[in-house]
Parts: sequence; structure tokens; C-alpha cells
Amino acid sequence: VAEAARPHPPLRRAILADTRFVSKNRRRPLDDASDRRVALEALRLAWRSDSFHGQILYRLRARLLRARVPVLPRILHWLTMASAQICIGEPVRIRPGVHLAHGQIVIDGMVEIETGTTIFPFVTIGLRSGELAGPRIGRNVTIGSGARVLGNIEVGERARIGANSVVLGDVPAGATVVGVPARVVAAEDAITD
Amino acid sequence: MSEPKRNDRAVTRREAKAGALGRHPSFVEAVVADTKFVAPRWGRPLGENPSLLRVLAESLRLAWESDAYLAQIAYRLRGALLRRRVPVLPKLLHRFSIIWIGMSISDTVLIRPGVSIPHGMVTIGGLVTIGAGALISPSVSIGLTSAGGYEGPKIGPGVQIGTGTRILGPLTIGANARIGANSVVLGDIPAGATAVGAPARVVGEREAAERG
Repeated sequence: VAEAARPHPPLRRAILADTRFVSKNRRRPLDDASDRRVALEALRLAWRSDSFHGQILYRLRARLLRARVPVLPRILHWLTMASAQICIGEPVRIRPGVHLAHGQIVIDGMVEIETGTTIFPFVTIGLRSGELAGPRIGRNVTIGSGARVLGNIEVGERARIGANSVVLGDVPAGATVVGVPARVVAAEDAITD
Repeated sequence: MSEPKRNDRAVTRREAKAGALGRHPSFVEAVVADTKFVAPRWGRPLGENPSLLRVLAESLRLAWESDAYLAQIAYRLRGALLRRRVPVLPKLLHRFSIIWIGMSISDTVLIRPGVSIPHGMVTIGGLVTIGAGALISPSVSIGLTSAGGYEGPKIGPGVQIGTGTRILGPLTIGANARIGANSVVLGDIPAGATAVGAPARVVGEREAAERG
């Protein structure tokens, strides 16, 4: 399995950024809150939301992988699967500040996911057969439930991918795509929020 | 693609089970073939004639590295126990697979030795056969329609099933066919074809030589 160039993010930064972003998505923004307050919120969320619990376990696993700690990452992976069926491969790089809503997702291969991305359940992000490089997903992308994002492609920032879409080609920044295979149905101008 | 065949008298679950259980492959045969098929996908091909010891060592390594592979071994053990009509244990192994990786495969599903289920999270039910060399991606369902009784899909060797696909009813998928992600297959797919969409349509065909 090929190693991606960038290291996994530091644990503290990843968890704080994830908590701020997830809280914002859950309509409890922590804009001016201190790190201490955000850390307490992380504990509360880990209790309330099994996918956030899984996400924290994933961050811990990623940090241990970076430190080349043996055995423990594998056990954390099992726990991640058990808490929310979140299956994320070792070559995947997820920047701090993402939201895995509800879990039930598979991400594997050399995939990069930037800050501000929201991934809904039943999503697969991965490879097309015989390839090693997967999608690069830009900042603030939303990936709808059941969508499949596959192959060596680029999803531009702020793009929105509709439920059950199959994305096999590049998505321009700010576009909304839907369907099998996914096509652009709205360019950036159409987005009002 | 033709309409699925409807039997005059649909197969019941009990009949399906009576016919299917004895046809599960033996444990060693299945694990050896699965390991030989999966190891190259992890970049560790086993070569022409690996020793049994080498294959078993590789299968242990895969079981540690891939939770889906461990569940696949549990499924193979379950198949071998079902074949010998051992009670209770197969049910426990089934529970393990579901808890471990969300992989639910019914007793009547026959999977030939030498397949890959890379991330689990699949549901396969009914009287289903799956050929050697098949690739079953995550979030796939293979099963029944309300019209077809207990008879499910017959999937040929070397078929690649894309993530999120549903394959339902008494239909046949020919050797080396490829089914695109999120497709819904409700009718036969010829050998070597590529099918996509809901309902799935054939969009391409591979060269005859590749079809095998």
C-alpha cells in the first residue's frame, strides 16, 4: 500500500477543529469558545453521537499511525467499526475539521479530504479497479447520503454531491452534481447560502 | 437484458436450504483460494505454486490487517460447518460477521472459493451462487424480489460488483461482467458486459478474449 506524502494531522488540532465544525453543523456553533470549552464539547458529542465517537477514535488511530505505533491502530480501527461502521484506510488523509454524520462509510486508497467537508452515511470514497490513487476532495464539500466518489479525480471546493450519485470525473468548484454518472445541475451562482 | 425467468412454482426457503447446505466448499479449499485471490490485491502475490504453509501465513496476516478478510474466514468456517450440519456454531459465526463488519450472508448463499469482499458491509440473501474471482464492493445487496420466491441471482466467475449496487431476483450475470456503482440490476447481464444505472442497462462490452 502506497504512502501518501502528507502526514496525518496532529491529534489535538484535529479533534478541536472537528468539534468546532461538527458543532456548527449541529447548530450549536462554538465560534468564540476557548479550546477548553471545545474539548468539553468534544466529550459531550462523543457521548451523544456514535459517529463522532468513531471520528475521535479515527483521529487517535491516525496519530498513532503517524508515530508508527504497532498493534494499537488496528484495535482502534475495530472500535471505529464497532461504534459507527466507519472504515477508513491507512493511506487516507483527512484534514482537521470534517463531519462524518452517522457513520456507515468506507474511505480507502490514496484519498485526500480537506477541511470543512461533510460526509453523510452510506458514502464510499475510493478507487476504481486497478488504481491506487483516489479522489482529492476540496474544502467545504458536502457529500450526500449513498454517494460514491471513485477514482483519481478532483472535487473542487464548496461542491455539493447529491444523494446516491456516482461521481467518476472532476467536479468544478462550487458546482452541484447529481445522478449516475454524476452531472453538474447547478453552477456556483445558483448556490445562495 | 431479458425479463427475469419466473418459475411455475417458486422455490421455498426450506427447499433452498436442503439443496444448498451440502454444496458449501471445504474450509481449507476456500481459505486457500480466497487468500491466493486477495493477497495480490494487497500487493503481495503468492506466485505460481506457494506452499500451504505460506498461504496460511498470508491468510493470518490478511486477517490481522483487514477486518473484512477476518469476517470472510469466519464465513468460510461457517460454510464448512453448515456442510457438516453442525448446529448453533454457524449462527454464532454469522452474528460475529454482522457485528464485526456488517456482513450478512445467508446459509443458502454459495460463494465459490477465491473471491474478494474488500470492506464487508454487504447483505446477501436467498438461493444465490457467486463464482470464483468475484469482487463484491461495500454497501452491496444481493437478494430477492417479492416475485421470485427464494431464488436469487446466479453470478458468474470474475464478476466485478461496484459499490452500492443492488442485484435482485432470479437472474443470471455472465462471467467477467462489470456492474457500475449504485446500479440496480433486475435482469440478466451477458458475459463480459458492463452494466450501469437503475435499472441497470448494458453500456459496454469487453473484448471476446477478455471475456474468458
